[in-house]
Amino acid sequence: MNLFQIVILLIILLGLQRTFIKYRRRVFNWQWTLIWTAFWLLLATLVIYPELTNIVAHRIGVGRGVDVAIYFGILILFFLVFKIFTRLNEIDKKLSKLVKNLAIEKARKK
Amino acid sequence: MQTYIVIPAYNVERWLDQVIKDLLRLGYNNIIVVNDASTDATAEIIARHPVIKVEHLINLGQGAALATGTRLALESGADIIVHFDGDGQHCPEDIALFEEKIATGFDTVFGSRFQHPEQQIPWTKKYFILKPAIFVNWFFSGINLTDAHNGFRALNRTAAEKINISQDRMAHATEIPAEVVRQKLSYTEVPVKIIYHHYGQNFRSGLRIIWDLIKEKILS
Repeated sequence: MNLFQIVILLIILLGLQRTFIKYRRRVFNWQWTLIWTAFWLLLATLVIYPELTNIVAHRIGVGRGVDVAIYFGILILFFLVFKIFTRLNEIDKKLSKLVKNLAIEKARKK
Repeated sequence: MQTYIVIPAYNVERWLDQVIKDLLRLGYNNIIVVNDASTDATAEIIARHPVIKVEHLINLGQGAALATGTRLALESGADIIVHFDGDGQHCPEDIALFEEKIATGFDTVFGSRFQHPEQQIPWTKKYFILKPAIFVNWFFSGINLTDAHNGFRALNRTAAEKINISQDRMAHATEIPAEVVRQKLSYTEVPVKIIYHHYGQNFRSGLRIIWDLIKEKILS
């Protein structure tokens, strides 16, 4: 176990703790809690046994496990950015509608 | 026919007073000024004149201001709605041309500076911005106008009711012609003179407009 792995494991521990708190505060329902816990545990497993990524890599024909992890990471990031982008656009539209309606209502009253 | 002038106003303290005075002098008494959250003295100037004042609490953009103003004009019973800039770039004397065309039955009338014989346009603006803009306009809307980005236009009631201005910022100038085509409205162009106190939209704003149009295509 090197320093890097230990630091990541500590962060994962923090993540698990946060997840548990969210469950307690009812921010997460049990389904989400399960999903997040599974995610953290999977991450922990990969950190403790990095060779596992190599097995996956060989299966799908990519050279190294690290590369697979990076590719997946990038794909997830793309997906998340797209979601953020769409949400921002929706918020923009809602804000615009609100401001316009407020303006017209105020003008009507005069 | 009742003509309503809709002026989208954002930080136009330098010119708005004169613009409103000129319009009133020519007999246009139905003026709606939409203050798009200006940070200068625009609001004070609007307050001094007998115009219909509308205020956006947050700055949304020229398209949004026009949308709000147009909607209010319709509610007020307008038959002709003229979009007129608040920065002194448009000549109020040209409004009569628009009214004339609407009276002969056109749904929409677009102003074109290229049709005007005396028009002086800064050279860089003409070739690097306006001409490419005409292409962009055609690409996104399928319409062939001689002036891509003119905010000077008139709509009759039918057009104003059917056209949905969803582009909040400057892309309305492409969106409105696109809507005209989509809603199968009749349109024509009239020559107008544009007075350049300031450069107006630059190349970067042009890119922003293209981006807004593409975003709308992807996300809708």
